[in-house]
Amino acid sequence: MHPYRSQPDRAFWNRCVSNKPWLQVEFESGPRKLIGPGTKLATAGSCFASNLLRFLPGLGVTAFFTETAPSYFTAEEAKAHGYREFAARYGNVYTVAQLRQLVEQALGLREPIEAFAEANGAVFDLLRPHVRPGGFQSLAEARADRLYHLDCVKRLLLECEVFVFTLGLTEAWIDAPTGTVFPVCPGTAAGEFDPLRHQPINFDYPSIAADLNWVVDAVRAVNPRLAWIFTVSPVHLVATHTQHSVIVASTYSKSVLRAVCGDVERSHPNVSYFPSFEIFASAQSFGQYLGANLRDATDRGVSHVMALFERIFVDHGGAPPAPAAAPAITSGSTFFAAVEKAMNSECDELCNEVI
Amino acid sequence: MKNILFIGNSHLIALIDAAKRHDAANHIVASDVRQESDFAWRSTAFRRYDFNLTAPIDESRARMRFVLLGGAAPALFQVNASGQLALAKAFVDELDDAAARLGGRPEQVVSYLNGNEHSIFAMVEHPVPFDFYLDASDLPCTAGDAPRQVIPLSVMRRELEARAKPTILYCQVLKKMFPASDVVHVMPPPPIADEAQLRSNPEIFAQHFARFGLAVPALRRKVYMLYVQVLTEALAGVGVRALTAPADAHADGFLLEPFWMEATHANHRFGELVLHELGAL
Repeated sequence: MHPYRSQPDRAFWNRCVSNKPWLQVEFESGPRKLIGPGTKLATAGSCFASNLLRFLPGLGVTAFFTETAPSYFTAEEAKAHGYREFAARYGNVYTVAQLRQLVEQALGLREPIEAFAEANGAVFDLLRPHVRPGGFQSLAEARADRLYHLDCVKRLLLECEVFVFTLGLTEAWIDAPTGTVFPVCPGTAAGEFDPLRHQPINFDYPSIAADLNWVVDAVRAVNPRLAWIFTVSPVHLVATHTQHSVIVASTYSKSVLRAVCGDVERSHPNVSYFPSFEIFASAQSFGQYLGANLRDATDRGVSHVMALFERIFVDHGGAPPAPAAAPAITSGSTFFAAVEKAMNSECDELCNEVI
Repeated sequence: MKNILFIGNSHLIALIDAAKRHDAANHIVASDVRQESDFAWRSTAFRRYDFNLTAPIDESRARMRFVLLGGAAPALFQVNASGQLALAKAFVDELDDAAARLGGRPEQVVSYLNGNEHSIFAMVEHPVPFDFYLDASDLPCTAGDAPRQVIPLSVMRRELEARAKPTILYCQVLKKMFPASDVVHVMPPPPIADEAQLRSNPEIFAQHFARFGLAVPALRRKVYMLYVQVLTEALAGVGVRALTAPADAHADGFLLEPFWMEATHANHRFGELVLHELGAL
């Protein structure tokens, strides 16, 4: 007798992977039913996190939003201004360092970061370059928008029950004097690249692990019931600022992120790692879930991921999953109808009185 | 003698009241008859009233015909039997009738239609309090309070344009019906800043004020200013002149107390200033 005798089939390559259709490979180590129909579930991270959001209604799960467009926004306006992409308008949070600085600002542990750039009379928020097409009219407006956003993130952190965070990159650009981490290189989406200030960085294992542990601890201090689900984005780097080939740089990046997730999961009972990366990126999948550019994730792959996600985390209470109600992605629709009705009546009343 | 045809909703009452009072003060024998139009007689579905006030002929002022639309007045556009959108005959008849009573085509057609779009949008604090910036030098509408959601100016403009669309369409039709006339649309009175006035005269807003609170005055002023700007631009595009609120009636963008009428309207003193600006008095 030795310890492997008691291991389940999934622990053995021949029983788990060899000669098995990819869809039947067992990735999970058991259910962890964290999510029910009313669970406040939010996502953040790379593009892959926003993909997950699209599939949640099919699982009978309603995504949680704290920063929503008013009901009078058109769908196009809401999308163009960064609504509906994530629980709040933080845009893509590619690095753990970005997540940490967002949490620090939202919880008031540091002052809102002054990272704005002016171009052609418009002001851009370098931490969220895509939330205002064409830029803000003034610095005052950009600051006000950021303050409201941080307030929404704070509410998200306080109220959220399950937070899915997809770790995307280790590479980033920082403002050297302040250490501010940008989501994208200044000068690409907004702002102007300043070689003296804007420096490349490739976060290493110790710093990423430290930041992620800090985030989990900091949020647990204000919201002890929050459960984290970490995933690593299977989408490779679009470009590297290192001297390596992009595929070599990507492998480094994903390997570090994957290792951090594993360690943080081990040290925090409220953290689960979800193996979407393995479903997409394992050589054994023969790249079947990659788009034509061998980088993008296809919907077929996301469907596989979500089926596994459902098996592990979603509790339907024994009933088949019912499509989720539309999430609260706008605010105020009933409010406007009520006020409009009241106002029309008021005018009629006035006419009646006079007449 | 200037012939003026007025058409409007509740804001028109300020002008009617002004005309009534002016008539009395100048011993004008006005027709002073509230005549329900033939149309109203024909159909109980409508509350249509035609106020006829005639200024003295010997003083070369104006002859004014007021068409005040009640709440059940027909929409200007209706779907006809073939499913097409067409001008409502009742509406056209009413205007033609009023014009005929002026002895032909009026020199001036004054619209005081609608005018509460800005109040509908911003009188009551939104469930998610908001702010927006009129230009690069604009300031937040409050300081130090909880952060407000910032609405892009482009969205605000598009939303207020959409809300002003019926007014624009109606004015466009008036211009087509009376191409030789000076068609003028009068802007609604500026907002009232005083919260006590609004709370003590809330009409049926009481429950909304109680539940959501009033929007801060600076925000209501911003919305009003943008509404006026948007509407003025759109009206210019259809050949209709916009008449802004008389300068003597407001200060710092808010309606002055002598001109208040409940929560969103102005009184006869405001109406008198408007009539002066129109050259009617």
